[in-house]
Amino acid sequence: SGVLVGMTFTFYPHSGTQYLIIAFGVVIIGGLGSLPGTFLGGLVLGVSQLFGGRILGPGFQLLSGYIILLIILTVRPQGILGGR
Amino acid sequence: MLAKPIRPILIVVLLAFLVTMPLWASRYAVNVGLLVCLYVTLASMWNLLAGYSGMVSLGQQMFIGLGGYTLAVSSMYFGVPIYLSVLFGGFTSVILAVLISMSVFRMKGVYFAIGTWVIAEALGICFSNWGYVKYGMGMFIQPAYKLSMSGVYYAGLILCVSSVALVFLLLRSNLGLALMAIRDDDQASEALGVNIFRCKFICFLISAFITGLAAGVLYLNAIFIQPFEAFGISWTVNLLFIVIIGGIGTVEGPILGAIIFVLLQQFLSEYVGYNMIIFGAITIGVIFFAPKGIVGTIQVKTGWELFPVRRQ
Repeated sequence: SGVLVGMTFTFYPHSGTQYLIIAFGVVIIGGLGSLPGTFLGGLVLGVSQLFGGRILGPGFQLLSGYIILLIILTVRPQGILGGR
Repeated sequence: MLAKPIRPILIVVLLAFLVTMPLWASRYAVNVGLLVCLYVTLASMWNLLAGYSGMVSLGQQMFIGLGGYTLAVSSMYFGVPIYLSVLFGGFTSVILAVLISMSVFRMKGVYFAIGTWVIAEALGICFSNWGYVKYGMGMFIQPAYKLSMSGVYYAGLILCVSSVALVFLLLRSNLGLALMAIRDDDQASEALGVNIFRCKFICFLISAFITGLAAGVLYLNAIFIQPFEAFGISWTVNLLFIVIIGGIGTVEGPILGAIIFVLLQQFLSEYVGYNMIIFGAITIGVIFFAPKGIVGTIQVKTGWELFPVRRQ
């Protein structure tokens, strides 16, 4: 997947942290320990980023993803499809 | 054991050394001393949260960024006197801590760490999209141009000494006893009547306030603030390095760790790529061979502490 990211987006040595946050966000939204949850989490995060970017402006794209992540962390920390 | 008066004598000698430094040291040495004082303050507060309250926060940079931006905005746009602006930085950090505490205290463990990190990143993006603080170009803090190096150094020194004293006194008080009980077993301590939320909340607010103040003095020295650097994760990475090497859960650990970190950073500043590798290698080495950090290992081996917080 790193190769695919490299083919699609620009990257530079410091871009690792950005993708780390995205990975954390996807797993937390979907639920730790649940594979369909990860797929769902990726979908939710991507769609919320695009909607937020459309409504609030292009600079706020990442922010809308973070806001959804914070809402899920507060309301349902185990994620949408998480167990326990 | 050792003679009783050795601890106060050591502390007095150290304080005399630090207070008189602008008189005999070069400007560069005073700058390094200021950096050490500020990192000691930041690391002590991070240690209070992580080592004593059990809340590993990866988001302390939100208070650093907010404190710095409050300093910039209130001194440049509102003409507030510069040291009062530093105080305002502390106040806005406390307000931010109160605002996020409702949501952040519902998260436990690793979720708390990631939640605080994400809040800091979100604040960074907000500030970089805000025209009032000049977007991502950053702000120059012009009223800080005419401050003297020794003035800023004394501000940093006062902050450092009072924050270490605050942590020491806090830990010896009832709140400290409650904190150590929570750290060891929070369900058992709740059964004994310790109000976990109140203790953690007070620690969170104290650390937010002092981090905001330290950020103000930091940006008095640096004079330029930029959103992604101010709210970036590198602050927490450096604080992690300091506290791990020094010793998590000790009062002297952040002091020793900050001295090692700032001196290493200055020596290795010429080798731009290698310094991070060396920092990482040292941290991994300390985690493997001395997981309690340097001060922690000394405490375990010899039983001697400069600032004793154990109950006898």
